[in-house]
Amino acid sequence: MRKYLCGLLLALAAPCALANTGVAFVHGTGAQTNAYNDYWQPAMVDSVRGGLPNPANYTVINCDFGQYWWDSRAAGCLAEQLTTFINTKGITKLIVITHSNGGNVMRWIMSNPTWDSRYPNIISKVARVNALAPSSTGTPLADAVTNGTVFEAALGWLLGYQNDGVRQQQQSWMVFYNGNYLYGTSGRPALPKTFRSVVGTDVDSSPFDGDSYCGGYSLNVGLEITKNWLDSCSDGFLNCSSQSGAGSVWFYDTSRMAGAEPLSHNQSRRACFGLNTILRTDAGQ
Amino acid sequence: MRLSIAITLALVSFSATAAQPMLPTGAKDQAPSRLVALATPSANIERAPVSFSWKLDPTQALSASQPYVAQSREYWDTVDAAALDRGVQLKMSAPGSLIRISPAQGARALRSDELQISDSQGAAQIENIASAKQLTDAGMDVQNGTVIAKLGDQEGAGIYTVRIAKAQGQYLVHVFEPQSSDVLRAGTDRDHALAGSSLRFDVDFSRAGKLASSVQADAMLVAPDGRSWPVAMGASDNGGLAANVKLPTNVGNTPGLWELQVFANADGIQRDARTAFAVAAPTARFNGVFAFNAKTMRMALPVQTSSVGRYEARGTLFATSPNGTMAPVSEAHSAAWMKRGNGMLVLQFDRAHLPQGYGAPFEVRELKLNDQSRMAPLESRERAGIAR
Repeated sequence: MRKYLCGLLLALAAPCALANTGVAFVHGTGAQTNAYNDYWQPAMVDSVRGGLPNPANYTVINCDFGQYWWDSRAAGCLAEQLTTFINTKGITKLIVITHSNGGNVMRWIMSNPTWDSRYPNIISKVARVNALAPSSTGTPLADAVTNGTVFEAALGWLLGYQNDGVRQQQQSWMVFYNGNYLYGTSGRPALPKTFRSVVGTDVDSSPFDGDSYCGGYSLNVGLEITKNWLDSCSDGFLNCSSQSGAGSVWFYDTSRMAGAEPLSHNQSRRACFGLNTILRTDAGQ
Repeated sequence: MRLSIAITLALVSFSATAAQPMLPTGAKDQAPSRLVALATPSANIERAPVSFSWKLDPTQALSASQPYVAQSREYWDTVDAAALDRGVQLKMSAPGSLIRISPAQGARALRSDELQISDSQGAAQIENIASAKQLTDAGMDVQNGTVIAKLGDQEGAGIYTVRIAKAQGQYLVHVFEPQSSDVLRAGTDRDHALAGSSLRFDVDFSRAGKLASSVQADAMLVAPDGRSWPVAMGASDNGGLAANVKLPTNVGNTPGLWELQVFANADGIQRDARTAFAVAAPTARFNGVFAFNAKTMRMALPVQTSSVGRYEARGTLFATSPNGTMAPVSEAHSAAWMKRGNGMLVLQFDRAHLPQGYGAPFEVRELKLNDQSRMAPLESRERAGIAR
């Protein structure tokens, strides 16, 4: 339908006919130097970009999201790589696909447009952010591993052990940032552009269930332990309430995945159960 | 309120209406009563002025954010290798507890098969056990050499002994009881405050839904740079503990949030809780007046600065709907690098953001002044001013 509308508008010289669509893949917490192979893997990236009118219009971001979002190595790096992508490819319509804490870094840019003179142009090009399992209200696991109590600090290594990217995903820290610096959560002004999440609701980790192997069985064994810190609805790393805590919910995993399979936190960045196909179709719209 | 002649003239020439005072601050507002001079930040900070605004959906109601209240069913402790070799006793209050042991720097890394947990009957049933590799792969960023065990659901309340033979160095023991009804709560009355001001902390420990009476609690105020101060807690009116704490005047320059850390014990059950908030050095403030031009939809805000830096104003424009109620229609931000003295930030709302039938009177709410160069929320006003 949209295609026909654009065709009709083309006759009226509407701007949609001139859109040059690009997709950016934004990884989660940690420093990446080859996120294409290490974080997303080629099966995911190549499948999704295949849905673009020009499949070469894609970029895979490699930044250090172990830093605070506003750090030049985090949002500053993301802004630089997005700006280069937009300028080099002439992108006029940008679809951003984020995973986990990458959603928060993107939300930082969209919530703080005056922080950096590159931000407004990026925001103006963003059509939507497809946030895969975003940690919008943090995770109890960040609290659990941030051993920052002064008693433990006496050991010397603990206070500075956790990276700032993990530290700020503690639930109490996220409440502060969501209430003061980030938009899109309940009761706060909306973000300037669409931010919609894909929510993972459960973890399959049985060695007798072949579905556990998508994304790596050994990864999901750890998720079986981590989910003890989480609600009954979680992807093994984030509660559903965190994943749906900002913007709107695009869909819950079991409503769209093949075989109504859930997406664990690792599987929501991989070509599992048709997720890549849904994103591929979206890239063409 | 004194205004320089230059600022007054600028406001008069800027606006179709005269400059007017902001609404009086409310109970939840923050406004610096003094300013401090700090060194110019050395970090690479944007110097160009930037303004931005976007349309809001007037049907989506906005509400003030609430401070976080931590609820803890876990605690952390440190032990040395000799204690682990003898066996460390842990008192549990519920089935299905998790026990994590992480090596400190220089301590020997642990393997899953080294962990022995026993109860009064002998070896305790362990439902699941995971290595550091499996946990970090799952996103739980634990220290290398960590092990975690989850006790079976039949392993209920009682004393358990955790033993690791031939450990070397010091270790962190982390106990989490997800099914426990013993909960430590800790919260603050605001999520940000100014250096030198006071903050109220409230703490309580409930056991099976009732406030515990025999609570021993220590609390610490911890700055992002690691400095800490003991907090003396007293009995509160609601049966818990409370403290009004005067915050230090020197906030340091390490980014991050401050924390209240509480370590409590009720009848041998331990709990730790942390809650976070921002503490800002007052480097700038609004001058207390504004001018709003309803034709151009521009709001001029004189700012007084005592430290060189990048300052940002942000606010939400409410307009009067056809039925006479006020609704949010636009969000505007404006930031600029400023020297010491008097300056001006201008929020440029967009008339195109007004839905059909919406118009004056306008009101700017959630007006905030932030020090972007020091990541500090300086001033916040729930209701800033009304313009016609």
